[in-house]
Amino acid sequence: MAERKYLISPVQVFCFVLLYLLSGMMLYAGGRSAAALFAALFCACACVIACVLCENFSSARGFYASAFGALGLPVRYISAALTSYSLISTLFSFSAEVGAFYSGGARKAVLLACILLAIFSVAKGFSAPARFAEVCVFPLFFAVLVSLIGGEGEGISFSLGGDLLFAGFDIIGSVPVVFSLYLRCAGEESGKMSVYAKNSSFRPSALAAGVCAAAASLVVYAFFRLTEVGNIMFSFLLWFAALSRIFAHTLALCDIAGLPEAENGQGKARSMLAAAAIFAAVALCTGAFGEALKTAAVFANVIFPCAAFAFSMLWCRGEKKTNA
Amino acid sequence: MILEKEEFERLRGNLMGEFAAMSDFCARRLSFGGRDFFILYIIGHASKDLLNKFVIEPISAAYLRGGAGFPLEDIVTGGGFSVALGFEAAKNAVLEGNALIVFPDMPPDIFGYICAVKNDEGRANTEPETENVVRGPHDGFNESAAGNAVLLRRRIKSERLKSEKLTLGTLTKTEVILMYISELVNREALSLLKQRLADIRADALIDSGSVEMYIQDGRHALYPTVGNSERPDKVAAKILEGRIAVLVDGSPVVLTVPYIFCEGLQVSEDYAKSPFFATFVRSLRFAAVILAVFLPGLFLALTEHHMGFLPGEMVAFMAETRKDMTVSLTWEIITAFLIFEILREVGLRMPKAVGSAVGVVGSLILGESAVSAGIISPFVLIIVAFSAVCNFICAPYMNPNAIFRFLLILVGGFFGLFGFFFVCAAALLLGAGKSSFGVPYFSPFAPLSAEGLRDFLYMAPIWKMKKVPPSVSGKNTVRTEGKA
Repeated sequence: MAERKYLISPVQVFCFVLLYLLSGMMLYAGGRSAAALFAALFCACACVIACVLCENFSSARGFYASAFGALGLPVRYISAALTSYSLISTLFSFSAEVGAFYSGGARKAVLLACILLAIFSVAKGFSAPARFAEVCVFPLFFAVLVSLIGGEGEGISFSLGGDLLFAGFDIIGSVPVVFSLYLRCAGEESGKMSVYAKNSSFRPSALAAGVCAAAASLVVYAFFRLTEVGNIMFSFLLWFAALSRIFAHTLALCDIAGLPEAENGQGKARSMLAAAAIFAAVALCTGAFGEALKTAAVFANVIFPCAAFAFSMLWCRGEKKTNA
Repeated sequence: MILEKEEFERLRGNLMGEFAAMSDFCARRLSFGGRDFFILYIIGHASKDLLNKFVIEPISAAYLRGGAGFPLEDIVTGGGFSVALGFEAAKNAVLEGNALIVFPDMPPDIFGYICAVKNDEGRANTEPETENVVRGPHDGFNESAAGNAVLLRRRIKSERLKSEKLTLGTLTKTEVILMYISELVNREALSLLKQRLADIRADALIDSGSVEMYIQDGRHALYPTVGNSERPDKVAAKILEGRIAVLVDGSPVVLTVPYIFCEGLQVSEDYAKSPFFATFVRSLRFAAVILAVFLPGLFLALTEHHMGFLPGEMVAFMAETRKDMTVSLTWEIITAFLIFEILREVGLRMPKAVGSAVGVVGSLILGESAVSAGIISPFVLIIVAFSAVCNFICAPYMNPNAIFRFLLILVGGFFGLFGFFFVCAAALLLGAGKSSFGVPYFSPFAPLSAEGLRDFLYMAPIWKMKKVPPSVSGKNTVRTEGKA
């Protein structure tokens, strides 16, 4: 069983998915509500699939090995690359957004600061970034309340023109992130809940948490679009959401790299090295073949959950036959 | 086997040797009916009255009655009576203020008889100056750990309130008492606390503050992970929520663990008020803390780096008020806060009457002069004064907030909004990863606990808080069935 510090609660899954999607919508939707809607629907489906598939697993290593057999390791590397791509894309977009507030080379400093925070966040397990996401949801709630007294905003547009599909997939980022969140989720069914969670009267199911988060992100996004909230404080709050998105990526990368399962220092170092190599390679490729990589990532993101689903179904059937 | 006369003399000699060059040490030789014995004690530390009344007079009376046969415990009345089964125990008993009775014909494994005659005269249980309440009990702890334990027992009259005594500090031999309710206590926190106390290797622990430094989570914690209070009602309420009280002899401040962030916003008087008003006041407190910490740094970040985001009227007004200024806004705010912190420290350390005068001189005359001289602009003065006043609302976080505020001022002033954001995010991440004796520091909102939220910013009526907060105790204990 995974160590408690590498587990997150369904409430934290909710917060992660909500902030992940919302920051994605704010960074990439560019006012296209249809893209946000598409992303939210896709993410909700991904949550359902991930919840069903990951029920009996607690780490990416076990899940990929079971679902893909001998192909488990290559698929893990592909997932790591996809997640790295999405992480780099978020880092670039976020640093560009923050850099717009400054003149000069602030963008690189922002990038460096975010990478430092991301590494620092998972240094002692997943509890800190998960609780960080939980804390970030509270000011967001107040921002929604404050936006009620704002003026009339830009409104919602459902036009389907332009690169809507790409915007949608940019918002979703990387589906392995959703899988990792569910793999690390200690729900009521898993029997891995902490003593505090067990004693709490509020224990949402992991499935409901993900689906509700996707819906909530869409509602919050629509709210912000309908009301006039464009001040600097609002941007400040969204920076926290973007940071949560970065943390979610980091968490997923750690999970895929198998850091929590690494028993000794050597294993941990090897996993970190693999993750860093993939990250660096993707960062280099993003600069060289940005557009091509983007298209590839989008298709991989579509293919991955479907493939995972199909392989898992096949595996389950195989298991049943063996047992019979 | 009876102790020979020579051995008795040697024992006495050893003890006398240990207490040599202690002018307040007394070895009183008494002789009744031809039998010699010694009473060893420290003058003033042991109560002369108690010694006479409960030890010497009963022994004398027993001899006069002709019934001088022992056991001694049947003769010595009052206080506590125990047997010192070792040289160290005998020595420590004397050092703790007890009287040690040494007979020539004691069994060899007994080094003396300890009579509890400790002089417990101390300060009265007056209301603590730092935690005043309008409605609520007005007593407070004093410097006696045993006396403080009694104050807690008066409030929780249950055999389930357990207490464990420890002695810490090789030189000070400070008495430390742990008090908790066996069924409610967070077992993980209790074992962690005991482990940390056992790990203390120090020669002196003068105050509970020293103990706090040793047992707190992390090596360099800015925000406290150990609570403290001088109010018995507050500590009793915390024990009833599954916490552990650490009473340190010589300190009126009782420590409580685990300690979570939201405790700093709670005041014992909240529970004596209407829940509506308590919720309102708590929200105000929270808002004030946010303003105290973030306002100056944010103001500086916006005015120094992102002026375009401020309203035009405000920018024009600021430009008008700062036209004669010679220093940058960042240094202006830093100077203003440094002056304020100096004045605050002076006000605290000076005698009360002088302290208030210094406060008036500092805040009014010095502030007015600084504005007239063009060192500080009125706008900055308002921001600094408001932030400083807001910081006083939450006493437990007053000092850490002052440091954190300085940090935010520096990064806000030099790096703008992103610098400010970076430090806030890093602090939030640190806080989120932090725990106090195994309990997440940001509970009950991270990780979320519905029961805990009933006593956070929003305060539910007492009868609605049906369970002991599971976020602290880790248990699912019902404390009330609600209101009929």
